[in-house]
Amino acid sequence: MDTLSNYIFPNEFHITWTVMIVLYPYITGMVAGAFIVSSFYHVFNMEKLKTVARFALVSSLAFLLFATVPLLNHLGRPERAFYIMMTPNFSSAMSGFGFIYSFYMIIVVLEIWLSYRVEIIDKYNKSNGIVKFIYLVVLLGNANDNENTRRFDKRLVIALASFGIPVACILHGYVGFLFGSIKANPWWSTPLMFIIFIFSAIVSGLAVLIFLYQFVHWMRKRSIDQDCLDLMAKWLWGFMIIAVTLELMEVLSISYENTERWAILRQLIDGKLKLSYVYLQIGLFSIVPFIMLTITSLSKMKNTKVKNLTIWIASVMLLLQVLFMRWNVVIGGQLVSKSMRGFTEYFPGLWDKEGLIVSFLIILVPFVLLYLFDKVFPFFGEKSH
Amino acid sequence: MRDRKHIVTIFSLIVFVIIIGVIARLILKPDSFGEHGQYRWNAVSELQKQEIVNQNISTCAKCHDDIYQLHEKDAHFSVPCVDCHGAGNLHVLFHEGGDSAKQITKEQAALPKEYKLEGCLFCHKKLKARPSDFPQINQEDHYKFLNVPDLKTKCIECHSPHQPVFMLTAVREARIHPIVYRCTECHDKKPEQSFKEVAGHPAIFECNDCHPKIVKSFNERPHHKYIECRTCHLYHKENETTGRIYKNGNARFCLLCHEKKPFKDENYPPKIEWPSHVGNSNIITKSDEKICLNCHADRIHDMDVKIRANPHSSDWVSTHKNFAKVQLTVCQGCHTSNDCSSCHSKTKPVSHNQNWRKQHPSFGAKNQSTCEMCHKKDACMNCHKLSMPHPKGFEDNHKEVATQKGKAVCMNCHKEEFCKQCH
Amino acid sequence: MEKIERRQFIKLGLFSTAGILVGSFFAFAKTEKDIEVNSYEDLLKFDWGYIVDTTRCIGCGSCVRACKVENEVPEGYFRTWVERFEITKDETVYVDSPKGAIEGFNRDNAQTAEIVKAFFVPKLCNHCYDAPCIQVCPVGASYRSPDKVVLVDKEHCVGCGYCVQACPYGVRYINEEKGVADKCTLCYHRIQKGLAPACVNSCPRNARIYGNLKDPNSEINKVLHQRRYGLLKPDLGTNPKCFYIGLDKEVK
Repeated sequence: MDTLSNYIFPNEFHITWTVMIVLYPYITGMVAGAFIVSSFYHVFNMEKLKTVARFALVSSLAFLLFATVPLLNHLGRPERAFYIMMTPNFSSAMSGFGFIYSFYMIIVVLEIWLSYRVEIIDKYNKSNGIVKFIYLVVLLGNANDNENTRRFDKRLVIALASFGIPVACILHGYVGFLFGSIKANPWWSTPLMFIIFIFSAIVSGLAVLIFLYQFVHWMRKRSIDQDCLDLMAKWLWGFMIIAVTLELMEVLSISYENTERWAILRQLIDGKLKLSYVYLQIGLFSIVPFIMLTITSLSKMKNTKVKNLTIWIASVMLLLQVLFMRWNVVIGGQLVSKSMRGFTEYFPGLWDKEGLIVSFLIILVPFVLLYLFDKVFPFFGEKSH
Repeated sequence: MRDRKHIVTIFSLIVFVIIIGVIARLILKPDSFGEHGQYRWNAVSELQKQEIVNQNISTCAKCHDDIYQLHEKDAHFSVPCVDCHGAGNLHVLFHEGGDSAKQITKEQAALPKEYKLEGCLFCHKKLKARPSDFPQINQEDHYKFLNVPDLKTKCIECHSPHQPVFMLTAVREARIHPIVYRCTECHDKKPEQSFKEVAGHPAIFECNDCHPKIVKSFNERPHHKYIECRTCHLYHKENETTGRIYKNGNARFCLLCHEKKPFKDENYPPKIEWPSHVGNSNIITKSDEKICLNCHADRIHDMDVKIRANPHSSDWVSTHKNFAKVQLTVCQGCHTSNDCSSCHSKTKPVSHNQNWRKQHPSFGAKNQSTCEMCHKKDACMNCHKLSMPHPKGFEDNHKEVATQKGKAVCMNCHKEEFCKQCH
Repeated sequence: MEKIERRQFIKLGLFSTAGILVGSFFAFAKTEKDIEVNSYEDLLKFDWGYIVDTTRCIGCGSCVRACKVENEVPEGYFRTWVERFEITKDETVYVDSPKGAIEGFNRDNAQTAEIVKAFFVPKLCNHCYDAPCIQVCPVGASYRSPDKVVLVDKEHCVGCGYCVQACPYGVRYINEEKGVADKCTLCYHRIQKGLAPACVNSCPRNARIYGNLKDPNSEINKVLHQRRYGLLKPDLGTNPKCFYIGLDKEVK
């Protein structure tokens, strides 16, 4: 069969899901990843991660707050968004979104509230006037703080964190399921999609934490908790191996099955996605950080500066890897015509409603939010030196 | 207990928010949602309210019945009005009058009357993907063939869009035709209502209904015992009610039955050698496909053709000499050498023996043309002084003839007793 | 004594809250006018099916044009369109549908090679029994009407586009002006009044047939019993209700 004609259905000239839908799984990935890292500390008692535990939790919330923004920006009728909880159609994978998202939001907020309660009470006691009142509202009118409350809070945080891990997996795994369950799309339709999304979420969560942690400490010229960073880098190394292997296994199994869809997907990988998938996602942003992290994880590097820099660069590259992976899945899948005979074109405009500038802003806002939060409750202790 | 109070507070807050959410859902949920499944039942009726734009052919027929009647009976019968004239909703609203008509201007209500050239070509442009039996043209070739220099000439200059077939020239053999069935094949009983309008009934007829003269003449000729109309007028079914009829007069078609072949029965039906039947086949020109009908048309049925019952032209007596010199075998297809000698021998024809004088009147009455091959047309006058045989109504006016020309003229043939039979 | 008062107080509180809730329910509830419409039970008697006779289609594009004006389909999107397949002697398949064939087809697509087989295939929503678009709609805006037509509730759709992704036939699109998903309704407003859908109404070759599959004597059932037909992408289990007569294997 020859697909020389490059035919696409007339409704396929414009793709439906734009770069906004690339951002959504990217951001929720970081949410789920960061939350899981904080849970490692709370649930599995990894004391080394204590330095980043709360930071991870708060960044999880910061990303979570903005995860819906690209979705709302993409919706044709954003004012009707709440129908998803009012009239959910439970045969749809997407209908659970509102509930899972709210449930997860409650867990994260609750956990943050409980872990910051002591600090808030402290601030409440020190402040005056309207600020004091705001703190009182945040504390729900109860500034009771003693050994007992702290014990209860810690227990509850552990319970919430252990409960949060499966919810985080569901929140992000279901995004993978959203794509993987579309039988009409040859590039998406695979049960592996669900697992790939979870692992790439953890990779992006770890990577963003390493990235921010080192970045903040360099900016403030503070000493880095080397044990914590090493551990995170090792985890990142492990999870990226699993994530990339799964991504490659998916393509391998499709090509080995060699069903009808491989004919068109081969052309997709070799044509439209050659740069973003083969060269960037797999070539540059998977293999290179893999080598870098292998070196930092296995060899005993004496020079911590070089080592940390390597880890940092690897984390940036893996952040980009996950972004490209999202792009290649979301956009790549839509480039294939359902006629199985051709490909459509897509590149986001710069100033469009769903263009590059807006995407950049949406990505940037959670970081600004983190910065503001840091002003009130410093993540890594007061500036001591 | 006191130390857990803040935990109780925040969980009650969460429960409160959930309750608020449930209440809000109850209030804000669209009315008819979930009445008959996981959707808004009112949406179904909302969709039903959508305005109808494209008009049905029956709506058009209410006012334009004259055109509808033409249209229904020709090849474009299945082409709905909207295809060429546009949706027509404004047109109908405007002409129906009423409140809604006031907002429509005359321009909006007007429908395109003449369709553009491209409009016809949407269907009739020659494309490989079109079914091959569908009429289609390559515009350039078509205009070249017809010697139309201006490529922008509209199709409707020649073809009426409502009667495309009957506008066509006689060259075209195929035409859309109703299918040939009998009433009883569909109607077990008498039809409940008679179809006053032909268009109302699916076009189902017998040949005789429309072509009685031809069917009658066909039944009087030899072929009718062995074949039927559809044997020659091949029928291509196009759908349940119509098809195409081919007027099949091609020589090759006749020869399917009438050519001598070793595997065929020798006697039935009558066979000929081909092409020796017509002598040198070079004499058949390309345009002369219906050569059999040139001689044998009268064996089939009355035909409105330029084909002659007698193949020979009127000046044949003077020209046949040159023809026979070259194509004697052609003559021999019908004629024996006796036929030549009947005129060209110096001796009298064998039939002209002693008794001929008595016999020639009965022979001449039947085979006048045979006599005329040698004798001139007024040869009878030489002896009889009258045109022979007696014309019709001679009985009534023979008295005048007898008194004018003298009784002796009658006595050449008739005896005295002949008069006495009546007088 | 004190206990009883307390109980009464709680009772009063409960009743008043309930009263406020019920009252607000009626206050906020939208009142919509009842429209004259075929009742649910009436609609259950129908199961609208569709036949496309590819052997009869001449690719004139009348259906595409009629659909466009009937349903105000936005520029660049199509509820129905006509595809052309040309197979040349060297087994190459050329497929095209310029502007959905709204202006017909101008000339043969395969110019260099000799075409051995060519045909037109009109496409439209298959109104599947197991429609993936209905399955994936998160808010119940895509639904199957009681007479088994797959429809979109434009007043309820959030415009997420998931149904567009889920449809294997590419018949859905996002109406950018209204911000909602849109698709062939089988001209629901027409068939409810006994009129043929705009595309069926405009077809000059009767290549499109629609009818009630639940009526054993309907024309569509007669044709389905006489002719051999195929379905589009039957392996996806969508159970489509649009039957294609004379379907070629190249058509997907």
